Amino acid sequence: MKKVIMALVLVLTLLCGSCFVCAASDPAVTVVNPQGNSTVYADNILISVKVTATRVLKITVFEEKLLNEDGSLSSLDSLEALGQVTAGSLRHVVVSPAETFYSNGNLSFYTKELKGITPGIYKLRVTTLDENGRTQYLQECYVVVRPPSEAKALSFQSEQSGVLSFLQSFLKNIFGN
Amino acid sequence: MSRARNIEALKNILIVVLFLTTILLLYFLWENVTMKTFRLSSILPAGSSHSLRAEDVTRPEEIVFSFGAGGVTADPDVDGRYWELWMNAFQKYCGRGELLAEEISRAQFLQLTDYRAVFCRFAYDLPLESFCQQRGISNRGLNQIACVTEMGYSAGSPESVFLYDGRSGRCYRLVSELPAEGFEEIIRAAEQGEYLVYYGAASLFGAESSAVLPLNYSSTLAETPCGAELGGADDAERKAIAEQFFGADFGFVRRIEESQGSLIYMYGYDQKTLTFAADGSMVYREALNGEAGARRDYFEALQDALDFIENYGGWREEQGRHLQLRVRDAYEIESDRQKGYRFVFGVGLEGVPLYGGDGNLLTVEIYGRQVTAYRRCLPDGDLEKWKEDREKEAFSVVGLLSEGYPAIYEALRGEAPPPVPPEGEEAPQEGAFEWVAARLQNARPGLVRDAEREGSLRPAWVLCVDDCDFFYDLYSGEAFGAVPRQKD
Repeated sequence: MKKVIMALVLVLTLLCGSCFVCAASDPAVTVVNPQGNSTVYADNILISVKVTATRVLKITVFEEKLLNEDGSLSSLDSLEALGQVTAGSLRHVVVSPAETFYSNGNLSFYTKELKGITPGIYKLRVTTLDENGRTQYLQECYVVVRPPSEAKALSFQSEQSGVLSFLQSFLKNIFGN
Repeated sequence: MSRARNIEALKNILIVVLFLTTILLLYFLWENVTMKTFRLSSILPAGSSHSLRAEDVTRPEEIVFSFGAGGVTADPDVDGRYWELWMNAFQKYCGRGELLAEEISRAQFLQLTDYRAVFCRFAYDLPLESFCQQRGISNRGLNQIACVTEMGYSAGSPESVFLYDGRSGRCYRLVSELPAEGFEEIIRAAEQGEYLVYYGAASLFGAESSAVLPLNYSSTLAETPCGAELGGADDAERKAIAEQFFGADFGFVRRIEESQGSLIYMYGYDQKTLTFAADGSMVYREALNGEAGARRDYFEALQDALDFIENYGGWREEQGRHLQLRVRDAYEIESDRQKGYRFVFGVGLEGVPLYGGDGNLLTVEIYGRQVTAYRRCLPDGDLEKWKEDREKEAFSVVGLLSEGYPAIYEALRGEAPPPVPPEGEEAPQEGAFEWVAARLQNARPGLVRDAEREGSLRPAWVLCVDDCDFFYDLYSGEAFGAVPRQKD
């Protein structure tokens, strides 16, 4: 029962917050892309972090993988699946090793493109370091990567029947907007 | 008897030849016209040929491709290949039947490039009705859309074509009775070539802008000395040009030399003026008269403007310069209750846009059939050394915007940006940076004339924000000027 509650709490935290925060997040650091808990249908990821004060950041990207009983690792396909994985069987595989970014101005952007990304769940970790090199703030974001072929077509709210749409267009043509 | 007749005939022929020789000698000697300034185009009647066609100068500024897996690129479409493919597909899609247009939100429109997509982006708002008429497209069902600034196709809604009207800020989805065929082939054609990955300003900055930017960019563009087209013209050449403008009235034209080096030819009291400025530019102005006539259709006015350029100064492409002319801006103007158009032309060198630095290179204002203003300041000189053999890494365009946004904000708003709140205090929803990023139209490498470097063409990043071009050195990121697109 405890495990189920723990799993539910983890899933709710992942779904409700835009970012999963282990420590207080840095008010001067915003992850612009990828958006927390978003799903992208792509084989590359753009990382864009906005920094509005003098900071030293360490930025790392991991893929969250499940350790199977036979010792192999497998990718996860949803945040729900991630929530059900116990801490002992979760592995953080480094995709982009930690990079240090120095921000000296009022505004700067850390940008990086990760190419050749396979479907799975990825975690972006942004650590703010103090003058002694110790962690001051920690911010983590999850993004689900799906194959581009699975992207669903856009739906437009004003999908109407042909007759209704024709009438609307006809009236607009007569009376203008 | 017959011998005497032959002699008479020979005399007649000699008289005719001598008469014609006299006229030719008078033309060259009396008028002091040198062979250098003699141009066939100057003695041909106006509009006898259209080597510059309205259709050819009406091209998108860039074509943005999205390959659906996060890969986006922007192509200047130098040879117009993709534009012609797009037009073929668009003409087939519109057919002769009814088109339905429904308005969609800007957010939905920006989402379209998340899928495989192709978007043709103009630098100005093109009147849709005239465009459809000129291209033989039925615009039934499109009467509610005044202009088109972007048109595109996205696999996110494969049965539709999308339009953006920049003047009204509205986005539309078009649905035809016919299937959307041929668009995917354009995307595939671009995908097969080499391309540089760009990212949307929406992803990079979280801004509601459709601009796309490269993260890393390398270039072979090099600074090259360059004078103005008329910078080295002597008095005789200027006089010959003035005669073309004033024609029969030239005898009544006053010649005024200004201390700053400008030379003005004036007819009447400011009725017609032709100014040769010290910077090598030429400006012709004519008072609007009542004979201009009613405003003509956009494309008719554009063709008249192009004919005027050809007849008064000519176009150098015929001299092997390979400069491409495109409309960069076009908008309606009004004076004395008469309506007309102002056309701003952009010049490209193998797809690299050239900029005047402190003004536009070529502009024409036209009311009815009367051209009331014409400014010409084209580059001259040896443009062969404008590229280096090796590529150099350009300054980060993301860095330019994050460092240069306060100056851009101040230039556009006329006030200093609000101070950044102290640490710990909440930042406003839309700060100065967000304001600038949301108005970013594009960022392109180009060659800009820098007056402070004796007019040499300098490789630059050109950031277009809110219809104003901001220039930064391509390699060092140093800011060196800004010009609103609507400036003379």
